[in-house]
Amino acid sequence: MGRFIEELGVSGYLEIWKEYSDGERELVHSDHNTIVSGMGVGLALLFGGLGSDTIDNFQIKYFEVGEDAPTDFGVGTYTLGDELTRAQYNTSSVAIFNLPQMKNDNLVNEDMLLIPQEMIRRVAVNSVQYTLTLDTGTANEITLNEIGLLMKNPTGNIGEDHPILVAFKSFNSITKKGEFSLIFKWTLSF
Amino acid sequence: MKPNNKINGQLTVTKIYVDDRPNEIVVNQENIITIGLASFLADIMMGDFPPGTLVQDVGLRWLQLGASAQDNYATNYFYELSSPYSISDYGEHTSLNFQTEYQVSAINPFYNPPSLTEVTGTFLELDDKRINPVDNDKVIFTILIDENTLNGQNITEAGLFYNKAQKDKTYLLELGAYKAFGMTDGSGVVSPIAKTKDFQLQIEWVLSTNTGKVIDVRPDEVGSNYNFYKASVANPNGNALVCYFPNVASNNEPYTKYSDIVTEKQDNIELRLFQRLLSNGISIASFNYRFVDDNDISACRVFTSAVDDNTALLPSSTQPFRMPSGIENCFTDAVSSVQWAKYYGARNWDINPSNVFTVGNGIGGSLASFVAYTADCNSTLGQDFEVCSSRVLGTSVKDAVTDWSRWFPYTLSTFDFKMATLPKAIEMLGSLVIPGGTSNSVLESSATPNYSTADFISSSISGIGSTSSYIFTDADFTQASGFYWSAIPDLKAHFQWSEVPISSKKFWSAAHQASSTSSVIDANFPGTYWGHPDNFNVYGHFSYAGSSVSGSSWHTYPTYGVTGTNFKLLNYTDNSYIDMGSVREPAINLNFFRGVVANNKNLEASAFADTTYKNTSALANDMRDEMQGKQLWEQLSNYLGQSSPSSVFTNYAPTTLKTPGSDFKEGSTNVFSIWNYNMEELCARDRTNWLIKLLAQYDNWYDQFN
Repeated sequence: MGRFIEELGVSGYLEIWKEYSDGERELVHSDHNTIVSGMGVGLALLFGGLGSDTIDNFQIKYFEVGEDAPTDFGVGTYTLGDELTRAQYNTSSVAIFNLPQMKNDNLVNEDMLLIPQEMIRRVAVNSVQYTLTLDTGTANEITLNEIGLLMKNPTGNIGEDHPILVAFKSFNSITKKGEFSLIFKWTLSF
Repeated sequence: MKPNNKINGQLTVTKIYVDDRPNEIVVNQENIITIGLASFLADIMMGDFPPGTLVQDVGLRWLQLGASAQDNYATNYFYELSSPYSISDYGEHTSLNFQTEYQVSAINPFYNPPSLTEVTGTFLELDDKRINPVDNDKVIFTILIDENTLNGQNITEAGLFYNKAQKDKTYLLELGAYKAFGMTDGSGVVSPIAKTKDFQLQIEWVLSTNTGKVIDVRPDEVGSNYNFYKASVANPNGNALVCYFPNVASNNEPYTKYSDIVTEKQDNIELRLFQRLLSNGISIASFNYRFVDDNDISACRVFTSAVDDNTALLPSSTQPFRMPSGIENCFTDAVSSVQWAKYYGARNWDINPSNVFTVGNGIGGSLASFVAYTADCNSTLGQDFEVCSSRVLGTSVKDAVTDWSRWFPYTLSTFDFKMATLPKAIEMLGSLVIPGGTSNSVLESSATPNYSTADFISSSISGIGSTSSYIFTDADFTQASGFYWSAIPDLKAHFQWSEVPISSKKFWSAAHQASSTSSVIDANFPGTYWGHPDNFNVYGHFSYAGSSVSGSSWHTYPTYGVTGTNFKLLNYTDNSYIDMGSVREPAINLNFFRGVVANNKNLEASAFADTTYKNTSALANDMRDEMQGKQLWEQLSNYLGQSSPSSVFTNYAPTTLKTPGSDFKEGSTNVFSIWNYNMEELCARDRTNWLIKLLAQYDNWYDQFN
């Protein structure tokens, strides 16, 4: 009579908070994300032992935000619509890397932010939460409407990382201001 | 159906004969991805493995075979094969290099975090030659069990393991994928693969990490107070619709005095239940509703002694049901939701408005069952949808409080409570267990081997059931036809006192016992005779996940030895109480336990007084329904300025050991949060299966899922 669960679903949930200098917080977005095909590619490389030799390259280690979310995004999405550049981030408080991002068999250099290890925490046996912050001095006056998470370097490229987009979310436009930090709390469940 | 990412696997086992007989595929089925693999991926994302850790040292590279099968779980929270082979079982002449390694073993897999330990097991490590890509998103693991291996053994299960030791040269293997299998004889009988020297056994395990379409529970339509989820497959007759009423506590945690009450309750869904419903062709509309809070209890009042002013729901023309008098609340919200869903859904959602169910969880379950068993409600809100009947085919609820009287105790003393629709289960889907051969039988849940889906069998639910029978079979009472329970039985207690979930097929309703053409005329509705809704065709499935009994006995009333404290019936015609004399009901003490206790048919307290049970001091009196009752009772008491709102609380204790006035234990939420995942999953599965089984009686399109 038993009907077992026969597959493992990967899902994610994103909350976006504004945090003002006086400590007040405002939830401006809360919704499921889209796990994109890059996750499948990365995990297949992992399980097959065909990509990076080392396990740390399969960690989600970068994120990007953008200002032109595609309207037809789905599992096939492999890029943000318009990623912010280092100049648009206009900050020295976060580590920004310009790396060749795997985009549908092509490598395209993009600016992306490093996810500090202390901003990753385990929330359940099968769930991890990332807390991604654009502080009061970052990306001000830019209108944001998309964000993506990237796996570090699943092919194991020697030298610089070749990240791949694994999760994506568009949201209602938020114009970043110096009055608040923008905090993305992103939970992935396997 | 929405695109999402999923990981799944397919296992193919082929007999390759050493002579010229053709190859024979004996297994070709999907496997189970366990919580171990999910944990592995979370470990990676956390960066738990030291930098430089090699994939080949940790990946899915270890195989184990066994002689039995894991078949007691409905979740993927398990960590071991049922009966793994030892090195000696593989045989002296095997060409494969089996090794003994440490592996993760579960003490209790359902804790959060799970309670785990380490044991040793026998494994075959897979080298690179045995792991190959198929496509961009598929990997195949190929293992050949040669003709000199495992001969004489009955092979029944296989598992793929990864190494979670997170340091070189030390293995701690954890199950990531599992498959129980066997050969079918074509008639449904499955037998193990009896290995002989006549053949090699080729095991091909394909793991897919595709991004194909899977069931993803995201609403297709979002309204101001509802979400609509469209079934993953269209029914040409119109899809059945579940009107779902969520629980009020965030993340579906137990409702306590200190719970966070969600405002957008339509989002507070049971994910696995929804996945199962949608994948079986049932669409869902999840509804928000008003709910009581500390400052305003009006949202949950149903009955009132106020004069009906026709501004809210009124009795229909055929059923004299008064609900409520001039107020709107969670119950009227639920009724309106069902009516609206039928009306709007038939035009916009491709549903069949005749095939509608109410389903709920917790307090939402109370609403769902209330709508199902109450009379057809008309409302006077002036909306088009009110032309639709509020009645449904059935209801399936989990952790629902169904003794609505307890929520509204004061109303009982106002003689305004005229609903006698509470169902009594008379035919149950489940096995009948007779502890010690006595007649006090209980039903067992689907979590036990005694559960049977073979047939709907009759069982005796005595106790308060006998009370209800007594009411309507004794001539003194049936003649009057105007008596109403002043002690509405706690239906939930029936389902608590045996393990859960229990499925019931038919419910007794007063309609069959007391004529709906009573001679008693409702004074407030001239021309309307008192009677009872006909619930003969309203089916119900009541379940309660996570609890078990620690003691079960029978109490015969009166037991207090004090004259005047027996069960009483209320004669509303002159506001007098009638002593019911000696009746019997189950007296239950409930504890929460750590796992499935199989085959324990002896529901005596001593059988449970061991360390496998949670500390009773943290659990006693903490049933969530008691908390609900306690909380609302207190609020109502404050609101009304009454210390004892109803004589029910004086004269009637549903289990004698637990009353709404029993002690409330703070801090019990943590106990509930380590919920039994397997029971939750079993519950979601059984509720879905039950709905499909019932639906098939109305629409044979659902036979394909039955």
